[in-house]
Amino acid sequence: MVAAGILDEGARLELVDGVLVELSPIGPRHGDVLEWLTVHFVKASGDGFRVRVQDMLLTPGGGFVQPDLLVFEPIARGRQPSTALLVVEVSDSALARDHEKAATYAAAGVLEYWIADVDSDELLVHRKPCDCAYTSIERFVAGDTVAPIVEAPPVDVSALLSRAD
Amino acid sequence: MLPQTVPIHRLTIDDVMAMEKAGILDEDARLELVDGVLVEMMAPGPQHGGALEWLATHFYKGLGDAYRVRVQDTFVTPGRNFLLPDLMVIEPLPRDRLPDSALLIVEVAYTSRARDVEKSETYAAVGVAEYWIVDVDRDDVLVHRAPRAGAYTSVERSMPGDVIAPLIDVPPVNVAALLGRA
Repeated sequence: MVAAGILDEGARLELVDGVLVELSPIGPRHGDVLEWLTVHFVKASGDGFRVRVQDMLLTPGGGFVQPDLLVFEPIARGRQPSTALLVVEVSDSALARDHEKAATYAAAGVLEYWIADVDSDELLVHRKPCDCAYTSIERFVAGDTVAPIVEAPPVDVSALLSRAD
Repeated sequence: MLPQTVPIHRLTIDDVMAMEKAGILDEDARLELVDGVLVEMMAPGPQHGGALEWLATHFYKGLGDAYRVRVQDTFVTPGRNFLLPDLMVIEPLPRDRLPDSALLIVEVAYTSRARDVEKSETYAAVGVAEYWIVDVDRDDVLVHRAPRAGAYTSVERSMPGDVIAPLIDVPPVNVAALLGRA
């Protein structure tokens, strides 16, 4: 069907029980990449910082967002963080929205905001928040390592975005 | 309420993922799929975050390489539906695969554990060996084990002061610490 032009040769497909199934970039890789990040930061967590996954970050005006990964200074039980040291979003389809969130995170004083773009295989690191914007943005690809603002080992971008088992 | 006789067009996880990809559904929306119908999850309360953080830290630090831990990630259920358990311990999967079985699932209940109790049938039916409901309002953990014919045949209530030894090889859970009562 690919040769006949019926199927897009770029389509990621597999055959399951005789039915063509599209391998969606959403879901499986998002979970894998988020898990890699969680393991990486939780192992280094403790008195210096805590890690939460897809939990609430309170925003001014009484709202909240739920970033994929939240790394923040310890707070009392029963409290929700309203700022953070590092926020990571794993992005597969809504990259534009994840870019827009930068303003929200900068305004909340999040010191570093990373977007792990699993479609383009790159890591965008936003630093130095000033009001509603990050004044430093750097792009990292496979082969690079990134030292996070918190006391955790540097992140190997190849390992983070790896498509292998 | 729709009458029982109305033929619902049932969605599958594949439909939902396509909708998220097309931007029809917000990929940040916390949705589960039950019998082909999209169901909203309640917004978490402040106690929920602390308990889940404790659990995630405990399992991520304590588990060896034999297992993986996922927090609020997709768990595929029969009929191409899916749930978003708060925490699950699974065997390693090839990349690009979503889990449809687990060794342990934990839900942190807030305000009402009715939905979490309903989920126990689904988890038992797919053979999840152990299912915990952590209730931060009632200060207890309901430990479900021994799934048989679609139901857990052993359910035990643990409270602060108790220690739960998971069936998998991971350090025991101090219930008081988990519930923030230590």
